[in-house]
Amino acid sequence: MTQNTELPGGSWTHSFEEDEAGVEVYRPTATFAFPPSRKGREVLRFATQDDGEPGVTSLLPGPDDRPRAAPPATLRALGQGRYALGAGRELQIIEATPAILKLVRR
Amino acid sequence: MATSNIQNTPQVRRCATMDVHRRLLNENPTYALARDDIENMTLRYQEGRGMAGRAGVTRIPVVVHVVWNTAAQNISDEQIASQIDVLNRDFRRANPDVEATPVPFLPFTADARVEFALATSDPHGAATTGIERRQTSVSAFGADDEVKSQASGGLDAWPAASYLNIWVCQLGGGLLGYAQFPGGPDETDGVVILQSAFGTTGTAAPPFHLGRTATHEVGHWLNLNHIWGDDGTGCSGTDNVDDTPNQGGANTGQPPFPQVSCNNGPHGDMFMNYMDYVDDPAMFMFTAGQVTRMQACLDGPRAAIGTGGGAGTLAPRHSSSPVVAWGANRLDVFVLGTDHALYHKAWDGAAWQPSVTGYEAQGGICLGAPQAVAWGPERLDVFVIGSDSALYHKWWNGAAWGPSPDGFESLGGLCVGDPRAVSRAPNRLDVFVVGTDRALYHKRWDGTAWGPSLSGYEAMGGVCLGQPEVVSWGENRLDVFVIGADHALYHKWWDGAAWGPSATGYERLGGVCLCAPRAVSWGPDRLDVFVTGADGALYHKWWDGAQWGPSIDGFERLGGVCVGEVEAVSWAQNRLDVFVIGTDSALYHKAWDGAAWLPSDDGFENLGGACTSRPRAASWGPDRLDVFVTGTDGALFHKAWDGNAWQPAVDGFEDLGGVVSCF
Repeated sequence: MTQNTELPGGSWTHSFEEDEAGVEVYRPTATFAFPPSRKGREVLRFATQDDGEPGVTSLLPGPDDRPRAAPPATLRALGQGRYALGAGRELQIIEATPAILKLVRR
Repeated sequence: MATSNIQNTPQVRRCATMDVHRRLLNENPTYALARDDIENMTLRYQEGRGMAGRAGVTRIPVVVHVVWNTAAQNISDEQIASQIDVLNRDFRRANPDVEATPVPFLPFTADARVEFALATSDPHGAATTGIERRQTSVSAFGADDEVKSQASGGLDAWPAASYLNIWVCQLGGGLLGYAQFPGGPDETDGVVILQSAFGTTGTAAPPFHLGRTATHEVGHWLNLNHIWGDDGTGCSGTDNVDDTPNQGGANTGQPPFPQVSCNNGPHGDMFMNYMDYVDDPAMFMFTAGQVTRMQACLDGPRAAIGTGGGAGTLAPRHSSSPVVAWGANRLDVFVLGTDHALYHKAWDGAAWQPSVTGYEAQGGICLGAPQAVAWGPERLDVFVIGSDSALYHKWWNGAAWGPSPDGFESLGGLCVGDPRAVSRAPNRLDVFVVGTDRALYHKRWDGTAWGPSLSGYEAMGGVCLGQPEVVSWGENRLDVFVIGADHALYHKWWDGAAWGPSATGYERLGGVCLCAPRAVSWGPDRLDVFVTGADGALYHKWWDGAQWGPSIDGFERLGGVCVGEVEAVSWAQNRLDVFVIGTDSALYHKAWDGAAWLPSDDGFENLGGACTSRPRAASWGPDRLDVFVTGTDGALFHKAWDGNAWQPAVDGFEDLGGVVSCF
């Protein structure tokens, strides 16, 4: 069976307990019951940018433990679920359903 | 964490924080500027330049806002109390697990000298438990401050200058909590904690079940940074503290010692520090450098908190007096009439009640001056010695006098002279009397009953001349002063667990004293004691949290030739006002303004009058003084400092009528 690897939308939070070798697992931020974590969880927000290109914003815990957003990065499609993320970095969607998002970052 | 080159000048450390500042500057220029000022001030403090620092322990009033969606999230008072206990252990280095600190790091562990107590007075001056609750329709809050506003389903902050705001709620995304550094908006100042990571009981769940989330967030609130320097996993970030090792990224879980990063071997990361990201059982220490940074915060951006200012929540409580103020612009005065019955009058903010020269008769046949204390708004407890030398008590509960308008509760004893009472916390009373054997005796009200019994007393030893004095600078703290048979000053104290130096022993503080001691406290672990010496001059000594000044048995001579007893009050941190009667029967005043004695070291301000009683003073607010004496006609007289001038005149008094036999 072929997994859906289309770029998702919305806010996804790192469910690092479910990570597999090299694969990061994300769950919907608003609805998934995440266990508490002191180190915090990375949040990825996928959205279409003003220029019509897809983009992703990463939020990580800041100096006061609040999630803090990095500048949005444009995602340039490379085919087969792979996207270029700025210079030399790549994001690959392994699986995307309404309940789970699996990706690899290189 | 220091930068990798620990010996570098502070300018290098400043540079490392500039990235953060630049980012904040983009987001909120006002906040960024405030943060910059705070960092500059902190740096001066860390270098020991131009900062006095707070003496002793700062006690911070806390309000806990419980915002719950499901009933289970409406955590119990016990769970809240367990969190306050954790904070009081962790910020005083009184947590037992500090001993688990690896040996190389143990010498760096330090007492932050900060304590926390649920507020007893709300922003309007009303009595409070320091806990407020609300059910919300929000199933889980984010890190967007919405829990801090009534309008968005939360509860509004109490004034940041007077309270530490703690919101406890359900947080989404697995978030344990978040903080706001000093310098941010008052409306969102404080910390937010996940309900199941709060305290040590109830809903608290492992591995965040030891209350350390609040310790970590309050660390941020007192301006501490993460120990790894908030630069991801790099080695160039700094926590602006010199005695923490340079560290890569955050540690998590419960790692074994050592954890080496950034060439910081052999001891590696100080991951057991509260400002890392390890589990609750794995974090148990602050360093001395972090304490310096927190104290700089209390000296700077949070200078108002814990000083008893604002809502006046936790002001140290002084000894009983015939004059007491339970709130702003409120005075209650008790005197004995020529029939030796108790009489009362009150200033209600607008007028004297029952009239300018009238009094409310309260019955009894009393020996010695009445002694009143107020442990909360609209609460008065009055103690007198009856004609049978027993101690008697009556109280005002806001609605009526107990046990009856002219009745008294008999508390037993055979007492010599006036009793002294103090309230160290709401609904707590401690009363001290001198017995016919001249020893000191004590009894206490614990909120439900008198101890050791209704008519019984705890023997406290000593041979006392004159009356004892007692002051309380904390909820579980009493300091008692007496003059011994050798006319020296003696001191004993209750620290919450035991009497020091022993149950019946005393610390000798020297001197040749001709009057009873008068003690005031303007802050936690601070005491100022006044007596008159053999030469009639006023003398002063003080406890600064570490030692007695000018020496253990020495006194500062403040001049004058004083007749009778001394009166002293404090209306602010590092402020003292002292009143004495001179040989000409006039009232005299001098004040310590934080830097010097006014009008001079040995000088006094003449406030006129022909006084036949000792002076009695009270202060119901900053820069406000009310002083009472009796005149040659036996009437009560009053004068007040209103912040600008003495009323009705520098040497004038307001006649409050009556024929007073004892005051």
